[in-house]
Amino acid sequence: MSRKAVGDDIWKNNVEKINSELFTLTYGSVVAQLCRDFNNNYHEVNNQLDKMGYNIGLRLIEEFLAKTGVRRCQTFKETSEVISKLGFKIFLNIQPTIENWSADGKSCSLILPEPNPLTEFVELPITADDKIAKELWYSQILCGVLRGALQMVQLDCDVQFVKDVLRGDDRTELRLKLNKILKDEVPAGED
Amino acid sequence: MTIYSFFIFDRHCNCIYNREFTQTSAAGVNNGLINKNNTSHSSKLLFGIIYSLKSLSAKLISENELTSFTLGQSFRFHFWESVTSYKFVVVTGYDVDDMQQVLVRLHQYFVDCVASNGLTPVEFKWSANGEKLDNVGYSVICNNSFVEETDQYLQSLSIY
Amino acid sequence: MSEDIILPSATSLSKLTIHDTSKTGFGYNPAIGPISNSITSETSSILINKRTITLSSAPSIYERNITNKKPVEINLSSLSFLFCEIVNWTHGQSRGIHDLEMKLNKLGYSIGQRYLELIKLRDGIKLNKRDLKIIDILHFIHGSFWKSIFGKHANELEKSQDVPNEYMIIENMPLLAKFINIPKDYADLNCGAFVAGIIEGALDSAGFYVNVTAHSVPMDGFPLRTVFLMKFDQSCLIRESIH
Repeated sequence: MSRKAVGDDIWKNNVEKINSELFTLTYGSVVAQLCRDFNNNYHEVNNQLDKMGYNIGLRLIEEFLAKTGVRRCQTFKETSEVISKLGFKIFLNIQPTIENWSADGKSCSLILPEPNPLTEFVELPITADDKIAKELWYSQILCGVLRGALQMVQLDCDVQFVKDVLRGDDRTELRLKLNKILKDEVPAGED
Repeated sequence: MTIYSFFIFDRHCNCIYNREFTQTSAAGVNNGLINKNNTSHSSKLLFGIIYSLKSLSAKLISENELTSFTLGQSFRFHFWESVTSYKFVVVTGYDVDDMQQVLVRLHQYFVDCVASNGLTPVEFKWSANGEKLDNVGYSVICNNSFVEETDQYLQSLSIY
Repeated sequence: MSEDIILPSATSLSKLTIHDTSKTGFGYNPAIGPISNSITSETSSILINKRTITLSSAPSIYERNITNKKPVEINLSSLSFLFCEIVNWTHGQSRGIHDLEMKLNKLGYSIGQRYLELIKLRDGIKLNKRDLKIIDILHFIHGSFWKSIFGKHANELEKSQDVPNEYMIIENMPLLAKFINIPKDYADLNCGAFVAGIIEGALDSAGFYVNVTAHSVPMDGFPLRTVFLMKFDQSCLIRESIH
């Protein structure tokens, strides 16, 4: 079976589903609360969303592996396929496309389809100083999730948004960059 | 045929769960020890052995992953590791054969009770010199439903 | 007396907003709340400019069909992971379990307000009526409102025998509590406070001023059974008695 078929199959038969709108509104409620908590300091909001995502990623990967039975990928290209066709499919029911590979095969872009469950009813406020549209990455939590999940399988990655439809860009694009493959940790005091 | 104990190590080489069964005729849930020997010398040695054997088996037989090994005529150590480097070890009598399915099942309990349960930690905090922190709840798995379900499962096996 | 009834309740609004005047701009600012949508001479000029921009740029969300869109589903775990993380973060920001429950309630509140609009908008064309009686709105919350959000009706709807303004919605299997095993340091936290907030937000926006709290009342076979206790404001009862 192709990866896409595997993802579709798990989604269909092995996932407890719920209306996406509750998720959309819950996420919106959190972002709004963070904007209030951090007094519209959107850099702080991005940071906090990233941290929350990271914590989620550490857990989500366990469920992902248990559901899919995926073993270690041989190449980063394979990893990116698994993320899009299996990971995004199983958890958010969308399949981003992957493009823009760098020459060394260590970084690529994930293009999120619109509308997606995080941003469905969302519009950034249109303000005179457009600070929010310049600074807030509304879906930043996804970066944290990917970073956390990949770190658990020993891939140290940078994940960030480079484009977001909410900011008026033509598409929503996430950049994924592999820094290094982590080694097994060695017990303290030995080498 | 006996199950002696069950260990989980995390990716930072810490023993985050340790269950030792005392074989008594009266089947009680609370027989044995829970998380009493996580930092003991033998638990550290066990990790060391597994770590070394794993590296060795990766060098010698690259396709086969380490699944079990025996010590003399008395103990057999069954091993399974998740892609996320959680190491599951069950120590049984010498005569117990394949336990891979059991270990995978134990991992499933870990996913359901620990990973999916957002209010219990998955990253366990240990001090820099490898000692358990005072707040026991954050250095080892002490999640009742995990303890109960895995106990029940292991005790239901014929080899227990 | 009638004045009390007609006056809009400012309590629900002030709960959500920090009293920060909208600096400049038009559109909903989550950090400010509903006040940010007010039109002043300043914002109206932005609004007019915005119109001219919209004409030439990509279609806005207002052009999407919201009333008869196919329901999209996602994994319950995704919501559960997000919710747990919300509880963790809020816990760190709170001064105690009661404060934490208040904050969860507040987060749910804004969801309830919006969900009510959404569901009523979708129902609107066929069944264009507004619920005026407490019992009618409660049937709606317990029935189609609950079903849209959680995929099923709530289990029971009850009225207190002793206190005239108290009603209860009972849920045997609360969706969000399913994965949550409350650790010791969270004491008697009830995550249902979040859902209580959703109910409160919806009822308040429908003009039934209410206070909703969640209580865990386990029963055989339903260890997570939760009772949502609704205490309506006296003004609602007075209104009922007039009609």
